[in-house]
Amino acid sequence: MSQGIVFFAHNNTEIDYGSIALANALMIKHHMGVDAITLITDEGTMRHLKDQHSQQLIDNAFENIRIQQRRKVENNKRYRDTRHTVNLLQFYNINRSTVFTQSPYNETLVIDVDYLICNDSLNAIWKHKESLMINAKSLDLLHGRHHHEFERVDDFGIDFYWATAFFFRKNQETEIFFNLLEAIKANYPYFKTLYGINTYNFRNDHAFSIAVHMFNGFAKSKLVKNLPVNFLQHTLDYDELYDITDKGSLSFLLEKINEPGNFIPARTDGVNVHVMNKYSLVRQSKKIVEMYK
Amino acid sequence: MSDDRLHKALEFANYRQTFFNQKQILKNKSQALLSYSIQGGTFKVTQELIAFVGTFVQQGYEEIVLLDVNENPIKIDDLKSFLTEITSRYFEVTNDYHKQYSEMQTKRRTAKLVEA
Repeated sequence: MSQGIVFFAHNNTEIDYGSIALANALMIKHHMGVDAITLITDEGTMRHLKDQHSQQLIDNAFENIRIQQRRKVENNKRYRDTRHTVNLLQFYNINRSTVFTQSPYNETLVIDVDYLICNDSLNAIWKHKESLMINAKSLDLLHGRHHHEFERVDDFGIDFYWATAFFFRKNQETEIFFNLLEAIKANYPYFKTLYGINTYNFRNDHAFSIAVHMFNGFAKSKLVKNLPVNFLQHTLDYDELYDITDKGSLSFLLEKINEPGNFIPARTDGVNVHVMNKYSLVRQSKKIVEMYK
Repeated sequence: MSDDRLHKALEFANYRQTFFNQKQILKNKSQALLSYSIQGGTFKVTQELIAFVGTFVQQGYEEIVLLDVNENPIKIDDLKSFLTEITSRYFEVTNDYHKQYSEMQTKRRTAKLVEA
């Protein structure tokens, strides 16, 4: 049975998702020992990736590259680079629901390019009894900092699920799930209103949260299970990934609670971290590639 | 309070906050690593699980069915080897936690706490 990891990467005018994907693919190869990595991208992102990196390095990082046509969508997302910069940019990475048909693997782990892999704990998913796993919990790297929007989609709403990392095995059940996801995406204004979601743009996490809720029988039944490690860890876009000192060792500046613009330092060794400040990831991606290639 | 004393107090508060946060990062890392998957099931490696499995190994059982974190029944075919695996995982993780925490305790400056 084939097993592999799938990334989605579509650059916008400022964020080079392709280079982040390349850096993370090299990290995955090193820390998880997985070579079967597929990149789903578009022509423009691919062209830019080839301008930035050698063909040999790209071929070494990805087993497959699938080019999709990038559709122009009106889906703006606020990108922050700490408190200092905020930009409203196009967010093209909304084609996650196509992964069922796009993935060349029977067992697929889908990872956001900004979820930096520094250990092999996700290898526990392969040949798992569950055919669909996704986490509802993510811990902030700064202890005590809580964001309610990461717990529920709305104050009185359903549980929030993270599309940052999820696993599925191709079967009839998961096909229904991804078809449902497609339907939610196609009728997003309706589902957004139904579930009391106030954010303007389409967000993968929200679409997945709705799909999981419906798949759970419109209840909190936990029929859809968590990944073997039942939580992710993240830093906010107000934080800064300022260095990678060694393989698997990430250094951050985390914005203090109730003190905007003031930070405390933090370091992780061998911890998978979802880095929300994409600008800082782009800044560090060159160093990551140099370190891991 | 003189400026110097206030400055030192604020510096120490920063140090304590960084120390506490690094400890939480180590704790969460240990929690994540204390997970063991076998036969398509996932187990949280705890003192209770080790003691429970150990009891049956001592009684001569070679295989048993255990409920995993998702409450799925998982048949463990080689109980002795499972015990060895979860015990070594437990000590690998807790020893590493102890080592890193002890190192942290010797560092008295904020910058040193997050140095490689």
